[in-house]
Amino acid sequence: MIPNFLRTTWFILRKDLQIWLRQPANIAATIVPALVVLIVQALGAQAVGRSPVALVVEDSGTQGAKIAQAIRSADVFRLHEVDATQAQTQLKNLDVVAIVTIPAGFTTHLQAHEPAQVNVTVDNLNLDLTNDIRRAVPDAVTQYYLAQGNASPIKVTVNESDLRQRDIQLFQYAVLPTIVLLLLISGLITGGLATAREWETSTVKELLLSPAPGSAVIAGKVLAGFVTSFFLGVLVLFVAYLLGWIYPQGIYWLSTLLIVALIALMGSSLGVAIGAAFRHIQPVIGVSMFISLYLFFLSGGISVLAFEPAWLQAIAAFVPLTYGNHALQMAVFYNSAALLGRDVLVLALFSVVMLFLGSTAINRQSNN
Amino acid sequence: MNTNVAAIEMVHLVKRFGNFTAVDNLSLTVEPGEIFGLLGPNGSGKTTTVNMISGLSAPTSGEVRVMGYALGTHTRQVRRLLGSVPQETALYEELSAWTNLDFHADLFGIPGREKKARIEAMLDLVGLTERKDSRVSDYSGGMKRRLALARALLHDPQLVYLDEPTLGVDVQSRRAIWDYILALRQQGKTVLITTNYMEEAQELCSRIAIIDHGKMVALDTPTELKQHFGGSVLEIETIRSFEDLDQLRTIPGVQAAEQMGNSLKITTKAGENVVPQIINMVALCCEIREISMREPNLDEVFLHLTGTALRD
Amino acid sequence: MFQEIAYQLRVVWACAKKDFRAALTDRLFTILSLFVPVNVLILMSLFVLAGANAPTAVVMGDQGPYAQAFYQAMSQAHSFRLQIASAAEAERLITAGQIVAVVTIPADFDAKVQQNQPVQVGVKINNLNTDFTNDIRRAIPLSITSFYAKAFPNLVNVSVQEHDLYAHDTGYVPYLGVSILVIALMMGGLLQSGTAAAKEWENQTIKELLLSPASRWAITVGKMLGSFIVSLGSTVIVLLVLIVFVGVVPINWGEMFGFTLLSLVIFNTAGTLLGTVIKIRQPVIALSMGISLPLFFLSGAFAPISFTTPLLQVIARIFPIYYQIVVLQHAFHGFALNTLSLGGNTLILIGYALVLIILVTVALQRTSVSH
Repeated sequence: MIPNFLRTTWFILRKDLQIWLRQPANIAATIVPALVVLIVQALGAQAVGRSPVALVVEDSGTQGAKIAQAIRSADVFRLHEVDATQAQTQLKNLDVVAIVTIPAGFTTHLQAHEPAQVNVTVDNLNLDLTNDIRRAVPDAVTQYYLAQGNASPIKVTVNESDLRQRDIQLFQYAVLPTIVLLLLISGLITGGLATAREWETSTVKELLLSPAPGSAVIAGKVLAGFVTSFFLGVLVLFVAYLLGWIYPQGIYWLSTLLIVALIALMGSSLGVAIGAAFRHIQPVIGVSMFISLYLFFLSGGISVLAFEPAWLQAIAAFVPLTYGNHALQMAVFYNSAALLGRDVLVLALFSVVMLFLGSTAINRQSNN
Repeated sequence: MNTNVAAIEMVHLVKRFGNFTAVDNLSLTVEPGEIFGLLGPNGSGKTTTVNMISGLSAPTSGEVRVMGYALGTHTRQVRRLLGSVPQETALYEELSAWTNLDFHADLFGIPGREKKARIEAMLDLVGLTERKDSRVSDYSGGMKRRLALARALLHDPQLVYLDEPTLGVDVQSRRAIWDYILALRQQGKTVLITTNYMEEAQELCSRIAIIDHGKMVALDTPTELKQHFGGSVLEIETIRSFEDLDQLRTIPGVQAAEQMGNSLKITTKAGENVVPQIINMVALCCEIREISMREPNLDEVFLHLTGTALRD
Repeated sequence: MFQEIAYQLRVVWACAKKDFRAALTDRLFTILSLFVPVNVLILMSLFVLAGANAPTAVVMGDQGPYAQAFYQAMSQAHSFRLQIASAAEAERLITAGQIVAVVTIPADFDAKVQQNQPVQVGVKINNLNTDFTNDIRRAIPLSITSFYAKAFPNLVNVSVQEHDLYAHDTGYVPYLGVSILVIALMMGGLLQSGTAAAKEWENQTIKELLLSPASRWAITVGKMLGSFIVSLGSTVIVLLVLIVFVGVVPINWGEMFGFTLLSLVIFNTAGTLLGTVIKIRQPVIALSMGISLPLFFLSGAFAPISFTTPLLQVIARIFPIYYQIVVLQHAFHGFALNTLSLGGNTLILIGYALVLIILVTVALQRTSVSH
C-alpha cells in the first residue's frame, strides 16, 4: 500500500511539474515581480530616512559654524547648502522638505547668554518626514552641545546597547517578506489553480477513475507546488545573497532553507486545499488573493511586528506565516536558531492540516 | 444576392509559419448556394485556410475573396456576410442562451426592433425555445451545437461556415443539424463545412475538396470522387482465410486487395469487369460463404488519397 | 457615418453588458474581487501603523521630578508609544518582540542632574531595521534637549523654532491612505479586467468577438467598461471605508470623484491589455499583485518623489500611478506634490488612458487565433 501511495504521489508530482515547465508565462509572472520589488527597495534605500534639506547659514560667528557642522556631521539629511532665496525656491519646487536656517546673530546671542534659535521651515505634508526633521534638528543641537565635552551644559548622555549584533538596512530587511510573499503567491495561486483546472478541464476524471488513492493525488499536487515554489524562493534568496543583501552563515543556511521549504509547503498545501474545495478557477483566484493578502499582512508583512499595536500582535500569533518570518529573520540576519523548534512545528502542523483537508475534498468528490 | 460572384474565391493562397508552409498555393472557388466540404487529415491546413477566409489570419501571399469582397481591404464586410460555428462553439457558458444570442445580435448590428423576433425564430428553428433562459453550461453537447448554429444564422449571413458541426453529438441531434444545413441551401445560402466524418460529407456536400500538406489533392462531387477512385468494391467472406493475397493483386483490373480475418475486400478499377476472375481465384482456395458488391465509399477515397499513416 | 457611430457605440454597450452579466454569474469571485481594494487598504494601513511610534518601555529607576520631566519629554518627542515597566518585565517584552526599546532612567538621575554631573540613560534597542531604529536613536537626544530646554532654559540656550507650511500635520494614515487607495484600486482593477480579458481567450469565446464586424476599439472600450462597472462597486466600498471609517475626508469632492473615475479607466484598460496580451488567467492574477506592490514603492506613495533619488524620480514618472497619487493627494488634502499644475497632471493621465486604449486595440488587431 505504501509503495503504491508513493508511486502515485511521484507520478502526479512529475505530471504537474511537466505542466508547470511548459508555462513560462506563469513562472515569469511569479518571479519577476518579486525581483522587481527587491530592486526597487534597494534603489529607494538610499533615500529612506535621508530627506533633502536646505541649510542656510546666515551667521558668520563660530557658534553658528559649529552648529552647522553638527548638522552636517549628523549625516541625517541630504543637505543642500544654499542661500535663503535659493532655499525658498527649492522648498517651493519640492526639492527639499525643510529649510534649516542659522540666522544672523546666532553666535552673538549665545555669547551674550541669550536664547538663540535655529529656524526650521518644514513642508509638513508628510508626517513621517516631518517627524524626521523634528527629531533630527534637535538631535543636531544635542550633538552640538556634546561636542563641547566637559563644558557642555547637557550632562545626560545615552548608553546604547543593541539586541542584535548588527543593524539591518531597510531594503535588506525587506528581502525576507518579499521571499515569503513569493512563496505564498506561488504556492496558493499555482497550487490552487493547477488543482481547480483539473476539475474545469475534466482531467480530474483521469485521476478519479484510476486506482490511485485521493490522498496520494493531493500529496503529489502539493509536492509539485512545493517544488516550484521552493525553487523560486531559493532563486531569489540566492540572488539576494550574491548581492550581499543577506548573509546567513554556515549551518544557518540549513535552517534558512528548511524554513523556506516549510513556507513553500504551507502555501502549496493551502492552495491545493482551496483548489480541491472550490474546483473552479474564478473562485479559487478570489479566495487565494484574499487569503494571501491577509496571511501576508497579518503576519507583519513588510513592517516590523514589534511596532504594531498589541491587538495586531495578538492576531499575528495565530497566523502561521508569523513563525516563518521569525525563523527566517533569526537564521538570515542573526545566525540564530532561537525558537526554531516552535516555528518549524507550527508551519509543519499547518501543512499537515491542509493536506488532510485537501484529501477530504477529493475523496468526497469520488464518493459522490 | 449576385449569383455571378463566387461565394469564396481563393487564388494562389499561401500561408507560412516560419519555415513551415501550412497552405501551399491553394486555389479554389466555392459557388453561391452550394454546400462545400473541405476535408483533410489533421494538420492538413484546412483550419488555417478557413481562418484566412474568415479574416482571422492574413495570408502570406495570394488572395481571398468572399462574395466579391477581398479580405484585408473589406474584412468587416466579409464578417457581416459570414456566420461561423466554430468547433469549440465559443459560447458564453455562464450566460443563458437568450443572452448569448442577444449579445450576438448587438455585435452584428441587428436592428433593435427586429432583434427579439429573430432570436425567437432562431431558437424555435433549433428547438431550444423551452430552454432559452437556461445557462449554456447546463446544455448537452448537441444543444450547444444547435445554439451555436442558431447564433451563426441570427444575422442572416450569406455564407455559413461550420467546423465539425456534429462532433460529439448523438444520432438524433446529428440528423437534426444535417436537416438545418440542407435547409440553408434551400434558402440560397452557401455553406462551407469542415468535417472528418465522410458520411457527413457524403450526405451534405455538393462538392468536396480534399487537402493534404497544404495542397489540394482532389476537388469534385462525392459521386465523381468515388468513381475516379475505383469501379466497385467486392467483399467476399470465406470459410477460412485466403492465403494468396498477392496473387489476387496481380489480376489486371484489381486496384487494391485487403484481408481481415476471413473477409476479403477487393477494389476494382473503374471500367474493368474482373469480378468473375476474382471469384474463381478465391473459390479455388476456399469455400465462399458470402459475396457482396458495392460502390466505394468516401472513407476509402479519402484514405487512398491521403494515406493511412496517422497524422499529428 | 452616424449609423456607423451608433453601431459601434452599441457594440461597446453590448460588450460591457455581457461582461457585467458574466461577472454577476460568478458571485464568489465577483464579491471577493469587489473587496480586494478595501482589504488592501485595511491591510496596508496596518503596515502604516507600524511606521508611527516605537513601542518603548521606560524603567523608572528614579521617580523624582527631573525623571518625570524626562519621561514627559520623551512622550512629546513624536516617536514613542511609552509604557512604564519594571526591568524584568521590560526585558521580557523586548525579548518577546513586543516592544522595540527599553529606556532605563537610573536611580540617581535626579541627584546627578541636580548636581550638574554626567548621568547616562540606558537605551536598549531591538535594532531589527535601521529605518525604525534610527528614529529611536534620534528621538532620545531630542528628548534630552527638550528636557533641558524646559528644566534648565538658562543652560541650554539653543532651541529650534519651527514654522510649518501647512496649518496642521497630516497623520500617517490620512496621507498614506490616499496612496494606498490608488494601489488598492489598481490591484482590483487589474484583477477584474485582466481576468475578464484572459478568460475570453482561455474559453475561446474571443472568436465570437473577432469574427464579428465590430471594430477592435469598440470591443476594447466595451470590455474595459464592463470591468469598470464592477470596479465602481469596489471603489464605492473602499471610499466608504476611507472616508467614513478611517476619517480621511477629501477637501475637494469633485476632484476626488473625477480623478478616481479617471484612475479606474486607466487601471481597467491596463488590465484588459494585460489579459489580452497574456491570454491566460493564472499569470494575469500573479501580475495583478506583482505589479502593484513594486509600483507602490516606486510611485511616491510615502512622500513626494522629488525627495527620493534622481533615478527613482525618473522611473516613477514613467508610470501613471505617480500622477494618480499626486492628483488624489490634491483632492483629499490640497497638497501639490509636484510642480506641474493640476491640469497638467490630469492631461498626462488622460494621455495614459488613450495610449492604453490604443495599445489594446492594436493587440486585438494583431492577434490571431491559434489552432
